[in-house]
Amino acid sequence: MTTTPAADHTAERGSTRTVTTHCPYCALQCAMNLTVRETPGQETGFEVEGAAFPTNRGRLCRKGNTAAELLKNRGDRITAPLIRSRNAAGQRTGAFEETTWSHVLDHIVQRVRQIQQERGPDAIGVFGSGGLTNEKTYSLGKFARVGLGTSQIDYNGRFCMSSASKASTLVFGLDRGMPFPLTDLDGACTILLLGSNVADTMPPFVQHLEGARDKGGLIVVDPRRSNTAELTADGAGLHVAPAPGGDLVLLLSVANVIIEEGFADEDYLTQRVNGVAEFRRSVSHWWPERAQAATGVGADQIRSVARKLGHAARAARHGGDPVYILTGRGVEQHRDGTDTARAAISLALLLGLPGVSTEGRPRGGYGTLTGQGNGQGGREMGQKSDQLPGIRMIAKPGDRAHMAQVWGVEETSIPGPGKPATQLLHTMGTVDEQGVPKGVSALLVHGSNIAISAPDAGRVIENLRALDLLVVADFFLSETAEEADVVLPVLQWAEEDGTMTNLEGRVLRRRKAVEPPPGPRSELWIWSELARRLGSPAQFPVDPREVFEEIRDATRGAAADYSGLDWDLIDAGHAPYWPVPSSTLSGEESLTGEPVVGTSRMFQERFAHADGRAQLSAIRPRRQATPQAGELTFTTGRVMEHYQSGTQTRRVQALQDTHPEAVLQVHPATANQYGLVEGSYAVVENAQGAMVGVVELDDGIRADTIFAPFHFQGSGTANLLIRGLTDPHSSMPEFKNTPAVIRPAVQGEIPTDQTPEGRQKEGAQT
Amino acid sequence: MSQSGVPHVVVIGFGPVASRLIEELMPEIQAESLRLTVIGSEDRAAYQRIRIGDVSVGRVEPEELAMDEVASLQAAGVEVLLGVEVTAVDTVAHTVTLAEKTLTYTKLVLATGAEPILPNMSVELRRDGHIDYELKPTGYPNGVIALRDMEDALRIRRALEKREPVVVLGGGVLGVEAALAVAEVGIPVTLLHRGNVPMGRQIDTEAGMLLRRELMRAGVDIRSACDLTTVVSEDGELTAVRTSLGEKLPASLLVTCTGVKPRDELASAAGLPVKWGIVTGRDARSTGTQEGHGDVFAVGDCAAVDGRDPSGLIAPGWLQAEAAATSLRQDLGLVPEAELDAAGTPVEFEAGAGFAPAPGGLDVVLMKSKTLNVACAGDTSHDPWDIDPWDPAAPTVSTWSDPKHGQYLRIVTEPVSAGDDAAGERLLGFVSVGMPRSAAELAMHATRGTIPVADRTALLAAEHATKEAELGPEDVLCRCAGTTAGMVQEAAETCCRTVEEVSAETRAGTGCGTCHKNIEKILATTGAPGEVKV
Repeated sequence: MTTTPAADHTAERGSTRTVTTHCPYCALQCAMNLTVRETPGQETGFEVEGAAFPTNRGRLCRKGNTAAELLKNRGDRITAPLIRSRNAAGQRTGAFEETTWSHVLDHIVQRVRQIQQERGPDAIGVFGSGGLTNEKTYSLGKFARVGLGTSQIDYNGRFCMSSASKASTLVFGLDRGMPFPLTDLDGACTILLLGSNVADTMPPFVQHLEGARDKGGLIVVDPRRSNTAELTADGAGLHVAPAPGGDLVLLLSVANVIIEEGFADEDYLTQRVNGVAEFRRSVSHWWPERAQAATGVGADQIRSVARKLGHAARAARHGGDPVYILTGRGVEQHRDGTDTARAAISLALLLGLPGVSTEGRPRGGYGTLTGQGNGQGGREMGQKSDQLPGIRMIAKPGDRAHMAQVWGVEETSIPGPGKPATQLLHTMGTVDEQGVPKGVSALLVHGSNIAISAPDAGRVIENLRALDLLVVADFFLSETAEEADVVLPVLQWAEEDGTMTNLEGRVLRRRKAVEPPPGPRSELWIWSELARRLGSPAQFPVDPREVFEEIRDATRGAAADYSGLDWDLIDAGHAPYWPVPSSTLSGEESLTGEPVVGTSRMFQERFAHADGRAQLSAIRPRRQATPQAGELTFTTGRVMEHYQSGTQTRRVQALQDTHPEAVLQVHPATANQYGLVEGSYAVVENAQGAMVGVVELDDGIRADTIFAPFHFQGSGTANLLIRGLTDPHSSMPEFKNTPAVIRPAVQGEIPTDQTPEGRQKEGAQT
Repeated sequence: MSQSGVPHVVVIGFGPVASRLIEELMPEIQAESLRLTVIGSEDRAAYQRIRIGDVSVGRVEPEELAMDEVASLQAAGVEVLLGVEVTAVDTVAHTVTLAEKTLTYTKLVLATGAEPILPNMSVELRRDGHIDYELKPTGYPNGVIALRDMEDALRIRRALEKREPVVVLGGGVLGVEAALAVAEVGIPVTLLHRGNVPMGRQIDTEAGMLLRRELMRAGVDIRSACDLTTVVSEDGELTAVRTSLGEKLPASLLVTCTGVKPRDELASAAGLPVKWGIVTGRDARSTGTQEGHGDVFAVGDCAAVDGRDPSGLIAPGWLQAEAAATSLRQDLGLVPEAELDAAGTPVEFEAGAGFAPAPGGLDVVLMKSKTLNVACAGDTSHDPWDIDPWDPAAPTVSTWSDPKHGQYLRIVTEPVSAGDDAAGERLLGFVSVGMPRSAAELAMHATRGTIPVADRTALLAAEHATKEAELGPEDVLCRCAGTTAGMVQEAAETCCRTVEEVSAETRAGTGCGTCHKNIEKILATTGAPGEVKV
């Protein structure tokens, strides 16, 4: 086992040691120094401080600052495998009981075999995560395809990066979230930021917007005046607030003005882009006056955005500061999310921005802000239902053959594509009219809390309860784990080694700083043991470094090529940008003066399609669910204090104290109309379900929009209202545009206590 | 059925609505489950007709308005006949007669659009500066153009090159847009219209008063309550017009925007029910009951849905195209692939996402102009002081009027159900002048069939929250070089005509380039009108 961190990154002073690693939370992967004080006879103490790295430059947000809270010796950590019995009706009514690893693994294997014998290999589903290390996400995909022989694997990144990923693949030919170093943004004069509230979700990112703010060039598109939109105040830029669902038409209309007012870079389009005429014709539908009725944004503002971008891009062509277009989940988590991201990329191409430098200065480009800690690596290591490691396609014979060779199995034994996440979760445990199962009968969940984070959470919980076997691996008893037959305790970030790929495609070292409590095990060990018991033909190494070496082989020559990576180099503190096909040091220096390893700026000579050109095509908005008379639009997002489903952050006291429960943000005029009082509870509901939250008034949100964070459990679960509508290209669910009504809560709907502790107390009383 | 056994859909007319229909049927065409022929009388494929005014003043080139490309349509399997007139339709024999051949159809779609109604004007013929009583008028002189198709727009564009005075006749939205567009490129223009205020049929009088003022401020000279009696022709060229007020206005171009008439002659001759448009149901099918009538559909400006006059707006036309496509698929037994939710259940979406009005929604008029923002829908003619406050069914009228700052907003709603407050309200109409945020919000609500928040001041707040401030002379325009707006203004007045020249003179715009827009704005407002490019 490689458990000793490299000497350079661990400083030991007596019983105190400081390890330089990266934050457990989001894709910014801020560098941090984690100091561990071990004093015999006392609780181990932890301290966290920001460390130097280009993305965070020593800064951390509140989540990062308190990350070590969860490493402490706490009562709520799961320290042994848990198992529980079912009653005669098949319901999981028994209390969780601690058991041994050998018993629990034998039990899982016996149940899996039984279910697969009855229903075939695809009766078992696997659900992964963009929070797992590269080594784990790689091994999970391999375990599903080779260990279990099932095609039914997907992961929570389907709810996160799938639309932008698909769009980049369609237009550029390859998806690396930011195909340029994050620090390139520092020099920008203009940044169009669509649907991303970085000021709350990744606060250290905001320092990279300062340059554009100083020049008055930050344009934020958000139906709320979010903390990020506030950054445009006082002359720093422009806030545009379309109605939820209006983003695609807004972008097409901006493109319309760009074309008609002569801002398009015709030379660039001729030299580097296909499909321009087709795209132009589809854009001709959305002149600004018409776009008003689909977006709620005034024609003057649409023109203003277009001209700002157009002038800045024209200046960038002549050596001026670069111009960037960035998208986040706000515009991507839609039924037309792929088209919206495609429109954003198309706009960047019209302006002649991506993949060009003038005298060594980048002109600008398009990027998507990846969300989860390993949201980038997680989407390229083969846990997607249709992909194999390196973004190889599972339906492509050459890609299958390569992986069969790496895994030492017959190509024919590798299953085909499975169902994407929402389809997997909404069909599992259900039968059609003839009583034939529509989906999997068992599910193994790793690093994901789908009872909170999946669309139509009510249906998901119902389906989880209908499964013949539910196995959940987590470090706390998440809401999903609470539903399980078997819970497997696993390691937290500072208890394990591995690599993560951040939002700019840099491969980073996650370092072990502390010994885990006795009991929890690495998923790598769990899968290895399960695979061995299942009689898998392939080997499953348990040492992250060994898996890393296998990833190099697996991705050699693939789109996301990690083959040139070197563990020792990464361990020494280098953070290479993939693709890293062969050599290690590129000879290039970053803006901050460090030697660059791998490919920092992509698409400089050519895009990744076979002919080297980017591919535009027609974009036609489709009909969508719009509010009917009396309805408003419900949209979701995150708050500063919490991360995703809250499994971790709701257990950090300081964060939970600041933001203890779900809120419903509405405009004061809307509150007035519907009889809502600030600080009291209200209910938002539609045909899917209802959620309860505390009313928060904000005159910066659109009067036709309700915002709720999706971090909370029970009746505060925002995803109870979300329909299972998905994007036809990416299978991204429609999270951000849901018609619903709002009203004051009545007696009986008001939660007594929404904290986990409170709920535990309640559980103890009953 | 045609000989090949594949149903043949013939579409007469190739405007934007026909284009939308073809797009809608494209999956079936590509799957070869139907054959489609489209016949256009113009020499070009469908274009955004609603925007040809921008072509006439040189703001966009015709190709930028193209909706289809003949080669790609042909590659997809569509037969395209351009510059071809249809002379007859036989609904019993299912044939369409062209000049040189006859086509047999399974289903016929008439998308023949509308043609302009030319006003009745007398012609004063002059030669060598004197009225020539000998000459007999042979029609209107050159320079009288009704703006309807791309050729008209290009003719107007050529006429505008002379930069001589223009008269626009007609106070509807098209006339106002045309006059404003001409003024925006700096050519003298007079708008003649018969009503008391422009757009008097769409907006209330107070809004119309402001609109007239704003048009004059934008450089449009206006004659209200006025008609055009005579066009003056000198050697066959228009030189002036005479008005009912007894005024003679010099003009080398008269643009008439005096309404359109549905092109329904083919249908009428074929015996299909016609009443100011081809009468159809909401499924776009002819309401005719005779043999073969059920195989004929009409969409767009030639169709009178449920017998109502065509609106002349594009959004309802596109909705009809979708309806026609649905009917055709049903008739031909072609089942489109339904969208399924993640559990495999089919889902459907209502109209109203800004594409076409939802049931209960309103058709919205969104005036196209770079300087003046006007939007309206429905009926706003109610007098707020003539409403009985005790009548539970009475409408509510909310008005914001600030003529000095060019703002006017009126919203009219009524209870969905009299006496039942919980049932909420519905939008009867709105008009917005000079309030772009409110215009956008209300246009969206009107299309969706929803209403904005009950407290209307929320709309007004949005109006100022995002307004871009005008720079004063001492304000720094270019942060990089520290150049003030006043310095750029001076440069623009004295020596510089382009951003590059201003940059060379003042260093403004040499850094990040984000201030180029403001430099251009100053250049545009200080430039002599004659120097603005058409």
